[in-house]
Amino acid sequence: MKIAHEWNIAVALLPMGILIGAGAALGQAPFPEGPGRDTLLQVCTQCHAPNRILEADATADEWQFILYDMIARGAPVHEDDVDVLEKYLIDNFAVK
Amino acid sequence: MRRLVNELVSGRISRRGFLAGMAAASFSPAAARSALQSVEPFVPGSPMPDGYTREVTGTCADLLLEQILEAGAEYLFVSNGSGVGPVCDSLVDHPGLQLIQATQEGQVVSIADGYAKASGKTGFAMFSRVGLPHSTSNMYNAMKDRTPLVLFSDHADSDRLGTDSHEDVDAWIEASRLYTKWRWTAHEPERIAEWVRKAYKIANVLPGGPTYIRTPRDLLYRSGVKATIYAGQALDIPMDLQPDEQEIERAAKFLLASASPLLYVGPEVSQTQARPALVELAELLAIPVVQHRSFYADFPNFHPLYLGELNAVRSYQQVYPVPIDCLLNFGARFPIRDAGFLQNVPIIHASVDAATIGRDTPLASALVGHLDRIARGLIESIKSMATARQLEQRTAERRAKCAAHMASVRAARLEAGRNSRGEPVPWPRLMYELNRQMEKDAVVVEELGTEYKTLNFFSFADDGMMKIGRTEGRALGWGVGASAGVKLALPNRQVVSLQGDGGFLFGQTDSLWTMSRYDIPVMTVITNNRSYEETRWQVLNRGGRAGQTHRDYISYLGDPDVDFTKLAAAYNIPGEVVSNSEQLQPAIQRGLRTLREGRPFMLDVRTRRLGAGAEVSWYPDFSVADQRTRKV
Repeated sequence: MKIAHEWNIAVALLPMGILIGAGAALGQAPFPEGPGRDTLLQVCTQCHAPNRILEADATADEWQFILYDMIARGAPVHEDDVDVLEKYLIDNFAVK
Repeated sequence: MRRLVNELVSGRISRRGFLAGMAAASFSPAAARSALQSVEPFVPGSPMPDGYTREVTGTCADLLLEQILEAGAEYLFVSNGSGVGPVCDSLVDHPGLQLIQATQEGQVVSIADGYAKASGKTGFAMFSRVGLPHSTSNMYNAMKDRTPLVLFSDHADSDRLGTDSHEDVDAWIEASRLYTKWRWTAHEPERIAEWVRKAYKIANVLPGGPTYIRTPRDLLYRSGVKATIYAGQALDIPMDLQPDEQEIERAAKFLLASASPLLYVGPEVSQTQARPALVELAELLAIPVVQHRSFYADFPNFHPLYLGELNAVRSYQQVYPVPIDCLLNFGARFPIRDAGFLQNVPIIHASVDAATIGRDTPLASALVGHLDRIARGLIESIKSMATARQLEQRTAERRAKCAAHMASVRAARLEAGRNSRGEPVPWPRLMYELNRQMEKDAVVVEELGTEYKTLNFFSFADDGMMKIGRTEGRALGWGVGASAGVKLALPNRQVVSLQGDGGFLFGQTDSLWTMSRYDIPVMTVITNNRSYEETRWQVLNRGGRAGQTHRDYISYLGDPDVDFTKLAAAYNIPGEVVSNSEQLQPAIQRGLRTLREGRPFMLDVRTRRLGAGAEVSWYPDFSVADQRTRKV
C-alpha cells in the first residue's frame, strides 16, 4: 500500500506546525478540473506536495479512510465540502 | 521567583536581597512585598505567628506523617520497601491518612502526579531507597510539567553511610538533581518536619515541581524525637502576585493597536486557574486562540475563537487574511518552532516564571505575575482605553469569520468520526463514540502520541470535560498510573484513560494492580494498532535504508499480538476486545456500566494504521530456541 508512505511526512509533522507556509504556488498543479478541486488546493496542499496525491496508490475505501483521518487530525475542511472532496478524490485518483 | 524563595528560606539571601531580586525579575514592588510577606514566616530566625506551630514527640516517621497531614495530604502513595516500615508503624496511629500502594516506584510517582494535576494539591509519595532509579522517569515528567510533588525515601543506615554498603551508593541524592526543584538528605530526625515543610513550600511555589527527601532508615525508626510541626496555613503562599501596572498598560496598547492579534496559550493558564479571565479577554478583543502543547486544555477547545494547534492558523488566515501582527503568549513556554508567519511579530509574554520569560525569545512586553491577575489587568486597561462600541466595531468581522469557520470545521471533524467505519477500527470513530457516551464532565487522561486526537473530539472547558496529559516530558509509562491518581482526586467524575498499545507496554500493567485493589473505576482504552506509530513514521519516512527496504526494526508490535484484556483479567479487571466499528458502541456502554458499578474496565480497540510502514509487519525475527544445540 504505497499510499501509506505518500501521506506520512505531513501526518508526522502536522502537529508540530512546521509546515505552516508550505503551501507553495500550487494553483498550477495538474489536478483535473471539477468540484472539489479548489478545496483540495486550499486544504490538502497546505501540508502535502501535489505528487503525494497524484501518485497515491489508494482504493476508494482507502481514500475515504485517509480523508476522514486527515479531517479528524485537523485538516481544515468545511462541513459542506467534505462530500465533494471525497467524490473528487475517488473519481480522479482511486485505483479501480 | 522559585530560586529567590529558595534562597530566602535557606538563609542565603536577606529580605532586602529578596526584594532586589524580585525587582530585577520584573515583579512590581507590591508583588515583591506580597511574596516576601507570605514567605517571611519561613525565613530562618523569623518569629512564628501564634497557632502556626505545635510540639510533637514521637518517632521520626510520626513527625513525617504529622507534617504531611498538616500540609493537607489525604493520600500516602507508596510502593513496597522495607524502608516504608517506620511509616507502617506510624500509620496505626494516623488513620486519617489513606494509604494507596503501587507495585513499582515509577508508577507510584505517576499516581501521585495524576492526583496532583487533577486536584491542584501537592502529591506525596514514598518509595524504597533503591527505588529511586525506577522513579525517575515519572519524576522527570513531573519536573517538565512543573507538577508539585513531595517524594520521600529511606536511606542507608547512619552508621553505614559512605562505605558503599548494601543498597547504598555515594551521593544517591545527586541522581535526582535534574528532575527535582530541591532535594535533601536529612540526617537530623528532630528537623524532619522542617525539611518536609520546606519540600512542600518549594514544590508548591509556581512554577511548581517535585522535591525529594531521603532519610537514613535508622533515624526514621528513632523514637522520642521532639520537633516542631508547622500548621497547614503556614504552608500557604498566596501566588496571586500582581503584575506591573505600567507593563500591563503598555501591553494593552499593543493589543488595541493590533489589527490581527493571536493568543497562544499554555499550561500555566490552567495551573493558575486563569481560564475564565482569559476567555473574557479573548472575547473582548475577538482574539483567535492557539493551544501550545499542554497536559491541560488551557482554553475551551470548542469555543468559537479556538483554532486548535499552531498549524490551524493558516486556514484561519484564509478566511481572515490579515497578517498576524501581535502574539500574546499566556503561559506557554517558548520558543515556538519554525512559525514563519510570526517572524518580526511583536510578542507579549505573560508568565508566572520570571526565570524563563524572555529567555529564548525577544519580547515586546514581559508580564510577570499570576496569569489571572494579568488577564484581568489587561481587560481593565483595555476597557479604560476603548468603549464597548469601539471594540465591537473593530472586532466584529474577525469574530464572525472565525466563529463561522471553526463551527464548520468542527462539524466536519465530528462527521468524519461518525462516518469512519470498518475493521480494524479507524481511531476517529473510537473518539466519536467515546465522546457520545461519556459523561459531559468526564476526565480524559491521555498518553496518546498527539493531543489533537482528543482536542478535536472532546469538549474541554471549566463546565465541560477535563483533559490531563500527555506529559511535556513525553517519557512513556505515565498514563495508567496517572489516571488512577486522577480518579482518587476526582472520585465523582468519570475518568477514561486513553493509551496507545506501545505506551501501555512501557511497564504500565503494574498500575492495574492498584486500580483493582482499591476499586478505582477508570476505563482504560487501548488504541491498539500493533505499532509504535510515531517512531514508525519518524524512522521509515526519512528516506534511509530502513525505509527504502521496508524494514521496521523497532515499531511493529503485532508479534506477539497482545490481548490487553487478558493482562487486565490477571488483575481481576473485566475487559473487551473491539475489532470493528460496529462493536464499539455496545462495548463502551458495558465499560461505562462497569465503572458505575465501581470497578475498572479495559477496552482493547484494534485500530487501523496509517502512514509510513503501515503495511509493514517485518521485524528482525530471531528465535533463541532455534539457536540451541541442546533442547533444554
